[in-house]
Order: sequence, then C-alpha cells, then structure tokens
Amino acid sequence: MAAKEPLGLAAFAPSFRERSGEPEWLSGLRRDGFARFCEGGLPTNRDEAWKYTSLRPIARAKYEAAPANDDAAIGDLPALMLEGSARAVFINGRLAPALSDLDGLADYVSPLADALGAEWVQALLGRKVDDAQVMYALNAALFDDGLAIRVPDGDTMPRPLEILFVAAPGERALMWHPRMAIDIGQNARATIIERHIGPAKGAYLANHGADIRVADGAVLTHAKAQLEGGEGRHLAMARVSIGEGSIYDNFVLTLGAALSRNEVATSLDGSDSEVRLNGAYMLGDRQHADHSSRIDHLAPDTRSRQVYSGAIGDNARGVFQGHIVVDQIAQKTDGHQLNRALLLSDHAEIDSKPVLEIYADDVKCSHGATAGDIDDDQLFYLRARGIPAEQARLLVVRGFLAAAAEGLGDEAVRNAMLAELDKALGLEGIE
Amino acid sequence: MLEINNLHVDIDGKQIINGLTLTVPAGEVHAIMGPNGSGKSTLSYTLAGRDGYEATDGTATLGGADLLGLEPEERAALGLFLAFQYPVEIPGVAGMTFVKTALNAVRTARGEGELSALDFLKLVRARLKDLGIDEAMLKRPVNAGFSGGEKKRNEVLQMALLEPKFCILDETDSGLDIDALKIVADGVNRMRGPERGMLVITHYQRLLDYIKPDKVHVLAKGRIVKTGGPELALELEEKGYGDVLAGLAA
Amino acid sequence: MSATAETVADVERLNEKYKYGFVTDIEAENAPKGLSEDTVRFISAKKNEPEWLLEWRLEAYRRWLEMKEPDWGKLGYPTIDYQDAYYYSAPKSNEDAPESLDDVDPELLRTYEKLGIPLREQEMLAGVKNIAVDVVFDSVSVATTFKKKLAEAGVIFSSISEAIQEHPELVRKYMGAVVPRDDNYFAALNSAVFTDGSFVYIPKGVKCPMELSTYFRINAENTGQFERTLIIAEEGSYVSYLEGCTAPMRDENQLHAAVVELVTHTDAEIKYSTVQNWYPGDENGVGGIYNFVTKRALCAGDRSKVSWTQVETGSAITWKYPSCILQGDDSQGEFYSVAIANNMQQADTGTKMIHMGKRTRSRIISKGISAGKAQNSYRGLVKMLPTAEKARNYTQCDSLLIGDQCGAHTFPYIESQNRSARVEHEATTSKISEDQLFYCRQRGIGEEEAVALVVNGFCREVLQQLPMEFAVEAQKLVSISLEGSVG
Repeated sequence: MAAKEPLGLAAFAPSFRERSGEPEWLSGLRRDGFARFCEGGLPTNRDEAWKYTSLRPIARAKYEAAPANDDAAIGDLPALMLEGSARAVFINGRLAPALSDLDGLADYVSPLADALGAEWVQALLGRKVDDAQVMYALNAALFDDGLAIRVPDGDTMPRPLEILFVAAPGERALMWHPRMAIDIGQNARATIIERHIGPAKGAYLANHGADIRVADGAVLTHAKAQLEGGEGRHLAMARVSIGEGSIYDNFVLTLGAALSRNEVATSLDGSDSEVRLNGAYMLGDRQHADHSSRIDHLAPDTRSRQVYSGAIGDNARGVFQGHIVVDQIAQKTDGHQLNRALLLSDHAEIDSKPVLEIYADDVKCSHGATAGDIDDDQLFYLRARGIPAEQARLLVVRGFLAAAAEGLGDEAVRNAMLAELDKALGLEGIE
Repeated sequence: MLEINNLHVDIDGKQIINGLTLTVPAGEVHAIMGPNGSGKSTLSYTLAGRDGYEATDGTATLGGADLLGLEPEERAALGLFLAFQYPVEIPGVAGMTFVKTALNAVRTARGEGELSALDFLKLVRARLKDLGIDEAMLKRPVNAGFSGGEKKRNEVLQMALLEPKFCILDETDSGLDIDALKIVADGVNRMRGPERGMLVITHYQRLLDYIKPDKVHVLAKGRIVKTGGPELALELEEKGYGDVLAGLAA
Repeated sequence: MSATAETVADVERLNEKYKYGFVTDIEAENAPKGLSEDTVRFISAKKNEPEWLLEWRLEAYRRWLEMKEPDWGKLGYPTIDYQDAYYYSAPKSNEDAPESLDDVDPELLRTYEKLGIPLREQEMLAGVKNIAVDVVFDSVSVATTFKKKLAEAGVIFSSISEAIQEHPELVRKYMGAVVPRDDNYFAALNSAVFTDGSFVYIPKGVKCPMELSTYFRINAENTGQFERTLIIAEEGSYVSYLEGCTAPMRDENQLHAAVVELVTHTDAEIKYSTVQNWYPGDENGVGGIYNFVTKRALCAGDRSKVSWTQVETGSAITWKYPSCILQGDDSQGEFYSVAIANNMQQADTGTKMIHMGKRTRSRIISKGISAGKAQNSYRGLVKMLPTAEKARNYTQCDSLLIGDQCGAHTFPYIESQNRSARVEHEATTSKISEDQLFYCRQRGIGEEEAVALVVNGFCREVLQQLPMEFAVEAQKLVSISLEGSVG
C-alpha cells in the first residue's frame, strides 16, 4: 500500500523555502520543524492530543504566505487596552514599526530577525519539541517575523507591552506564523498583553509560537485577548519554563475565530514556583475553540492554579484539555484545576479532558469539571429583584466568565480583560 | 510516674528542648505553661513518639519503663494518652469503630482479652452518659465536621474509654468558649485519681481555674525555668512571662 | 461498621501470603496449543453447539485477525503470544453433567473447599443459605445448586453452555447485542473462544429470591479464561449477582478476557458486584493474571437501573471499564469501584456512562489506591448525547498514594451535547497523612492496622454498596493487598 501523502502537505510545502542570511542553527531548526510536520501532516481526531479538534479543514483552505510590505488598509487602530502601555503592531504577521510605539523599550524589545544572533534566543528556540506539537514545529519552519523580548536580571520592563496582531485578509486566503522569544531574567518583572483582531469576513490562518523563560524569582504577567475575525483560524502554542521562586501568570480571553486552539505547555523547573493558567471564552455560531494546557511539576513545593470558564451557544463547540503531570521528585506539589462550561443552546457542545498523572505521594492535587445550563435559582433570584430575563441571563453569564479572571494577579490587566468581555456582552460599564 | 531527665530535642537543626527535667508522680496533676515557641508541643510530640521528634539526649520513663525507644502504639499500650491540640479528621471511619479498635488494641497489648461487642457498647454508653455526649456523635466519621469544642470532648471521651495511666493534655483549652471549657474540664477532673498522672500544657491560666494543678512549671527556652504551686499560674497571668524570662541567663 | 472491626482483627495475621496457592491434580483434556479456526471448531464441537453459534464464533475470529491490540491504556507488559496458550481445558471426569453435588468429582469438591467456598456449608450458613452457586472449574460448569428453587420462580440461572442448549432463542437474541463482536480486540477474541460463563434470565415482574453468584478458577497451565456472561432482566424484575474470583500461584502470565452483557427492560434492575483477587504477581512482578474484561449494560427500558460495584485487588494487569448505555428515559447507571494496585501491578480501569434517554442519571465513585511501584489509572467517559434532556452525572474520583514509587492517574473524558444535562466531575489525589496515622498509633493502633483502617475509611462509600457477605471479604482483601506497603 503506497504511503498516503501527509494531510496538508500540499497546503504548506510551497511556503517552505531556503532563507538567506540566517544562522545555521535556525536553518537546522526550520528543516527539523518541517520534517516533523511532514511525518504526520495536520493533526486530526486520531491524534490523542487533537482528539476533539481536527485540523482537517485547514488542508482544504490552501493558505498562502502573506506577502511582506503589504499595503493592506486596516483602518484605525483600537485604543490601548492598558493606559500607558507600549505597543508593537503586526499587520498580517509582519511588524509595522511605523504604527508601533516602543518608546523606552528599545533595550527590551526588538524584531526577532534582529536578535537571531543572540545566544539567549538560540537557547530558547532550540529547546526540544514534543512530537505532538506539530503546528508549533511548522511555525518554526515558516515564521517570517516576530518579537524578541528580554528583561535583564533584576530589571523591570518600564511599561506594559501590548502586542497587537491585526489581520487584514484580502481576496486570497492568507497565513502567517509569528514567533516570539521572551526571556525574563532573574528577579525581573514584565507585563505583556497580546491582542488579536480581524474583520468579520476574510479567511486567514494565524499560527503563533512563543518560547518563554521566566528565570528564578521573576514574575511574568502574560494575558491575551483573542478577537480574531469570523472566518479566521487561530492557533497558538506557548512553551514556558518557570524557575525557582518565580511566577508565570497567564490569562486568555477567547471570543473570536471560526476555529481556534490556545495551547500552553509549562514546566515548573524550580522549587517554590507557581503557574496560573486561567481563561474565559464565549462562543456562538459555529465557532470551535480549544483550550489545551500542560503543566509539568518538576520540582518540590510548586503550585499550579487553573480556572477556565466557557459560555457556549448556537452551534458552537468548546474543548478543554488540561494535563497535569507531577514528577516523582515534585513532593509537596499543590495543584488545582477547574474547568466549567455553560451550554446556552440546544446545539452547543463541550468536550473536556482533565488529566492527572501523579508520581509523587506527598501532594495535594485536584481537578473539577462541570457542564450544564445556567442555574435556575440564580436566574430566579435576579428576576425576583426585577431584572428582566434576558438581562438576568447576561449577568449570570458575565459572572460565570468573570470568575475565571480572579486568578489573574495584576488588577489593571484583569480589568482590561473584563472590559473587553463586557464589550462583547453588551454590558460595557457594568462594574 | 512520668520521669523526664535532661531531655534534648532538636528539630531541623534547632535545639527546641534544651535539658528539660521533670517528674510527675502518680496521683498528681502538673501544669506546664510557657510563651509561644517555648517547646510545649514539641514536648508532647516527643513523649508520644511522633516521627521527626526524636530525643538527641536525655531520658523519659513512664512507671519506670523507657518511653523514648518505643513506637507510638507501644507507648499507648504502656498507658500514655495524648489529647491533641488539633485532633485530625479521618473520613469514612466512624468514631465508634475507631475507639473500639483502639481499645481492643490496647487491651490485647496488655494481655487482657478484647471486649465483646455488647460489653464494649455498654462501656461506651456509660462513658457517654458521664460526659453528657450524644451517641450520635460517635456515628459520624472521626472528628469530621466537628466544632473545636466537639473535637476536644471527643478527645476526653477517648481518654475516658482507654483509661490511660498518664495523660498529656496539649492546649486542651485552645479554641473553646467557657461552656465548652467547663465540660471538658469536668471530664478531665473525673479522670483524676491516685493511680493516674496528668500533664496539662497550656498557654493561658484560665484552664487551671477548672483543672487545679498540684504544681505549675514554666517552660522557656526549652527547659523548666521555674516551678511553683498553683499561685505561680496566677502570678504569670498578672505579670506575663516577661519577668520570668528576664531572670534567665541569655 | 462492625465489619471494619472484624477486618481489623483479621489483619493481625499480617504475614498472610496469597493463600490460594495450589494446583488441583486433575487430568484435563486440552485443545491443542494455539489459536486457529480449528481451535474454534474444536471448542464448538466439544460443547455440542448449534451451527449458528459456530458461524458466529468464526465470524468473530476472522474479525479478530484484522484487529489490533489496544495500546492506549497506561499499561506496559510483554507482548502476548496468543499462539502460546491453550484455549480449552475441561476436567475429564465431567463427561456427563452432575445432577446434584453428590455427582460431582470429590477431588473437585475438595478444591472448592480449599478455596473457602464449601458448597454444602453455604446451605447452612445463616443468612446466606439462599445463594445459588454456579461453580466454574476452568472451562466447564461443574455444579449448579438450587436450580429447583429458582425454577419455581421462573428464574433461569445456568451456565452459558447449558443456556445455548436449552434456551437458544434467548441467547441468540441477546448475545452480542450489548457488546458487539467487533467492539474491541478482547471482545472479539472472547466471542471466538469463550468457553463458559453464566446465563441469567429473570422473567417479567420477578424479584429473584436469592443472590446469584459465580466463582472462577484458572487451573491448567497457560489456559486463559474466556467467560461469557449474559444477564437479562425483563420488565419489572430484579436480580443481585455476585462475581468473585481466586486463582492459584503461577509463574506464567495467564490471560483473562471476559465479556459480560447486561440488559434491563422497563422498570428492571440488575445489581452486579465483583470482588476480584486474581493472582497479582509476586513482589517482583513475576506471574499474575492479565485481566482484560469488557462489561457493559444496556438500560433499554424506561426507569431501569444497573449498578456495578467492584473491588479489584488482584491481577498483574487490569483493563476493564464496566459501562452503562442509558437508553431508556429515567434510567440509571451506577459505578462504584475500589481498585488497589501494589508492588508491580498495573491497573487501567474506569467506566463509560452514555446518556441517551431523558432524565437519565449516572453516579461514579471511584477510589484508587496505589502502593509499591504500581500504576493505577482511572479512565472514564461521561457522554451526554443531544437527546439526554435533563440528564445528570456526578463523578467523584479519588486517588490515594502510599509511598513515592507508585503513580495514580486520572483520564476522564467529558462530552456534553445537551444544555439541560448536568455534569459534575471531581478528582482528588492525596496520601495518608502523617497526622492521621499518628493519631491512630497514639491511641494504640499499630501502623499496618492504622493504614488498613484509614484506607477502609477511604473506600467506605464503595464497600457499603456490596452485599454483606462480599463486604466482609472485600475489607479483608483491602487490608491484605496493602500489607508491606508502609514503612
């Protein structure tokens, strides 16, 4: 039996090309990445890690790499999410310096292409890739642009950084694979907010990859508002290593894209460290949103906290996969995960797979998962106080989703995310 | 009955008990008072044989028999009882089951036979009555959902059932209001007798209004620094530990 | 409650090794080693089966050849050579089925007495005298007691072989209806070579007057046990069925691939309890039974109910997921499980609850205990189909780890396509706390006993579900299977 061509090869092979001027280690990385993609092609339901999210539809789309120097008209940029923050703007996956404001951050932020010679970038990008991380490997093979963000030991990034990714799809279906390398040094501090926006119509694929290191004693707040276009597809993979006594605080708000998968793989490498992975999502139409995470507790006295809340309506489908692994050496691990979904319509669906793999005994680990409609008691309480049914439902949903943001340490960032949520719900100014 | 001689215990490299010597004869109730961190809980854990609380020097004997070389259950069989400051919960194990198992284990260790189910029930009911405790409390899992007062009464009930030779009461009054305190003290006082010794460890003098000690010792910096009659407790209550500590060499 | 105290008293025999270690000295007439169509024909002929069943087996066998052994479980074991085993073994002395116990080979009866299930004594035990015992010795049913009493009630309780002869229409209608032959690799294998098992039929409106139970034992070297059990509960009926197993010490792994199918019609209920202590292998992981079991219930009728309760302490490898398809409206499925893995045991077990009907309910309570170097995984699926209006699921999955060389894992899959259905899933992992152990020991309870006490408390909610006589054996098993795990 002749070997079948890997799914999607025809869609992506044309984009893979030799690039001049890049260091050998990167060329090697790209070749390896593409080879890995070619092994299995696009992941489908047959792959356990993609059990509920098949990327088969992407094979048919035939995306083209977005051209550089594209004069796509994008209209006015939205206001900053956080007052006073710096902003890096990407149009169709390419950094647009003219539209960006990186004042005061010249020492911290640069285009990835300019930092490829740095040892720290090589160290981050060169980390071993898991077999299942196919789209991440593809990103290594195909990325054109990205950011290198570095905060030296003991330093604090002077302003929060908003990275705005604007999609301006045209007639043809376009794709881009932005890559980020983020290194937060010992005892350093930084706040990064990603924001992804796109128009209601126009097909495109955004396949993001990020390599992150949070060194000993550092704190990184990393939030993301995904408001991609209605026909857009958004894939994102962040791999994070967390050192001793440090904190990685991650929050994602997923509202957009026809198909999205937000994946975070973290390892608690040093003792007394903590990871927070929280998320809220609201889906309608035929949206499919997948939130997958993996937390490896590799040192003693480490903590993990996860809360994901989703409201799913129309014919949408939410997927949650949360894998916690506690190594034998990771005694006194304290890990808790909660994933809740509200099904708001007759054709909504939730698939949830919270996995615990535990090899140490002196640990406290738990996870919880719930699914169901809005609580009747809660609705009645609001209506008995005079609030009309529709608004009562909105309020209950808002409360349900907002609860996921409680784990986010930075109050300003939390408020910014909630404001975005309220806008989507039509509840602006509610708090 | 309980004889401790020059006991030294260090925890994680820190010398907590530092040459403690104390004798409590049968029939007497002694109180140990001391500021926080003086080593009160360390002393009770060491005497009861908890892992991690080993003596680095000194001796402790009960009725002449060495304690320190024995496992916790062996010390219990010798007649030692520790009423915990924070009694732990054991889900799924009914209180009745727990006390019956303990009682039969101790009786067996002492060469007495196990009690028949009927005899045990009679004994338990009598003790429950003495202490004014509802039998329903024993149907619940051990200490599960118990209030502070209920937990302490449960400790006293176990003490009444197991009839130990020597009781150590570790801050029995912590977390109790006056009413609960009276009930617990009452139960303890019923246990006093010529064949039994008690060591009451407390931070506040209040408990000693209800359980009147024969002697009061002050524990500071890991040793007994002062011994007196019941009036010493009142003195400490009035003046605090400052004076006593000030009088100590650094 | 009193059972726990008895248990604890028994645990004083702390060095009790697996006591069922002996081999019956009976000449067995085996099929030639290996598996082929001829083997299937041999088995069918030996059992004098009708043509349709031979065809049914052969279809399954051909399908099995095309399938792949599942590898998704968190289990590691040496490749099984399916050709290196016997698939049929019957005691020679049983050419003619015995009418009563008096006709049973005395050697066999002695075997059963050693196993602690003396058939005659059971008759006299207070409160247990109504248990009918269908004793399976290797591949052929040897004795079925109390047939008359059951016959009066209209209950059919026989070996599957007998049922095939006497009630072929029922067998044909239901066998394979709940677990199709090609459902999975081991079900296909079982369908091809199953040699015996139980058949139970409860007619309309009948509450079975006694608890039914079956004992199994693997004897001849390299003979796998392939039981097939079918229980049918007609409208408004009830039956409680107990399954308990023991096996002798062996140095070669023995394969056990059973299939159990349950069907409940309107308002019917089946309570299925299992206490499993197949030989688990020694401290070094040598020997031990491989237990690959497919158990499934179809709650076809409205308001029907199936309750699975299991205490799994044995086997070197356990792969089993007793499941319920909740088809009828208001039907209920329950799964209560205690799974203990010690030394080098590996267990990957759990349940599947598929909600189809309206207002269906499922309840899953799983308690896993890992000790030694064992790996214990819970794998479960709760699926709410779009038709499952107002369905409810509650799942509580707790793992207890003893020592830092073992692992406890949870792989739950939760899929809901109905907004009015509610799913609640919780899992926790912890160890026996030092505080709990010290508390017990200060009260005079020895360390091993304290562990047994705390662990039985941990398992209490499940053990409570077992019929009384099983509950006692189960508690003993829990304690014995954990010996040597602490300290």
